[in-house]
Amino acid sequence: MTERYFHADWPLPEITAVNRAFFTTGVLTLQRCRCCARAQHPPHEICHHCQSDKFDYVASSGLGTVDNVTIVHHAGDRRLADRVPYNVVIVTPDDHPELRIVGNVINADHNAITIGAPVRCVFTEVPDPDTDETLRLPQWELRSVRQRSTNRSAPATSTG
Amino acid sequence: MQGTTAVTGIGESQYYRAGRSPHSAAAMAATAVHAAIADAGLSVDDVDGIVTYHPDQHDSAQLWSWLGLGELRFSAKAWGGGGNSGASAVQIADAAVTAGYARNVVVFRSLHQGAEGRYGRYNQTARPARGDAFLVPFGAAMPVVKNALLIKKFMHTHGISQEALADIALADYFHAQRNPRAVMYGKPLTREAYHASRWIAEPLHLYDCCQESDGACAVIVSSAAQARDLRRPPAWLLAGATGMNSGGGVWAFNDTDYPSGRLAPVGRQLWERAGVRPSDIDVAQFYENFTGSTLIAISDIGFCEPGDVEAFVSGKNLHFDGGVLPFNTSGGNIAEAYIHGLQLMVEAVRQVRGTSTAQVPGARLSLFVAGPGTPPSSAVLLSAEAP
Repeated sequence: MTERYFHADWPLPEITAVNRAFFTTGVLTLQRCRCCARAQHPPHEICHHCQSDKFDYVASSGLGTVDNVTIVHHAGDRRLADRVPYNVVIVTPDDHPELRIVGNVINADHNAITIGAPVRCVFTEVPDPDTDETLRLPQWELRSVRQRSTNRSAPATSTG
Repeated sequence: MQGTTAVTGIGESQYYRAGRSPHSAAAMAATAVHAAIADAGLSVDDVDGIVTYHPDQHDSAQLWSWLGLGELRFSAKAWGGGGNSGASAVQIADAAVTAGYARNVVVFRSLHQGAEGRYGRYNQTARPARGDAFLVPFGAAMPVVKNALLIKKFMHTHGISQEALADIALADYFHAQRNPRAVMYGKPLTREAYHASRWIAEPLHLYDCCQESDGACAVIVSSAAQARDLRRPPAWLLAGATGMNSGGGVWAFNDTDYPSGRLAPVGRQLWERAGVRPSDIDVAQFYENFTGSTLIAISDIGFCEPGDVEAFVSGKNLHFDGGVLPFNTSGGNIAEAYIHGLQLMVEAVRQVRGTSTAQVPGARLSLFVAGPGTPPSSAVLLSAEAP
């Protein structure tokens, strides 16, 4: 778990039946339609492909690629005043490259956050101020090439 | 629709920097609407319909009574956020008059960002829900952040440089120097000053962002028969279009048109309905909430391929005096004022009347494009000649 990227008074999401898994499980979790098996993001009350309202919530590998990035220099809110400059990224999960997830890359020099950079999902744990739930906000860390090539949890691969 | 309606009246309040207007939004709306009625040569009893757009401080029915207008026979509001539905609102007025539901419909916007809160700031305390739950907690809260991402991806995908953004801002400021109503009148911008200005959200500098303004404006859409009898030369409504692709409404950058393509369906409808091509257009007003949004809109709607848009807007190509596509001739959202883009519609009307401060000689076909921010997007094409 990592520290929250923004200050404690910056708004947290309202938790609903369809977004609870994304914001609380501590695993990058995507909504998948039980009828047509399509994943969609953001999660919604109905499947935009077949209009079913039955879903499963499935774990992603948490590995992704930076699709887009902006560095924000102007604080458009007093609660961001001493937080700028901050980054906002759009990440495509490697196992669902058709989806786009907005987040922040933590622990990185802004110059290193480039389109195409490989990232991994990490989580920020925040107690929900209005309930007894614990929120786990998905954030991202840069993956170095070396880390990728020595991933010990990956099964041995054959070159044959 | 072709031959059924025309814009017969235009009206504006004075335009101010956000928070500087001594008049309320209601007072400015009254100024703009009554000015438009007088401009058309109509009386308050002739106006019988009202259309607006964007979540607003004012219920149109309440405003109608405050403004002392006659019997109301038609009222509607266009969907969409920000300025995307500015042309939709005009199209709705056109549809109402064409159908015979009303004779003269006023389309208005009135903003007091001092009283309402500045649009460039977030400053909300409720926990973000729905699509915002996936944006705001990660700092994608203010419009500039979301637009910066869209524009960054468009530039990256199509190899567009910062100079193309500068060209949009410079064209706006160039035209504002001729327009005494413009908030940035008397404040010319140089390319050096553009590049030296501070970052707001990369790739957007200060001068890439529209102003925050107080002010109001209005246009009146009337039937063809009425338009021929009134005092001003009619600005004939050749075509209106509202649209987006099937998956254009999905939240948080998961729409199928990301980062561009949002205005393509609007262009397809518009050119087919009007029976003209982009190269026939004499002058265009684009809703540039941010400079780069206009690059997306210009290519989406069909003026050029996305990869060619930097060359298309370069040099003096957007200038009123000999440009390929004279653009935002009153100074636009960036240098005239930001009245949710409806002031661009007012300028589109002035161009066919021949009364702009940056008049394109002999302008016949005058375009207003609203988008690509929050879908659906919209456009209206005016003609100086009766279709």
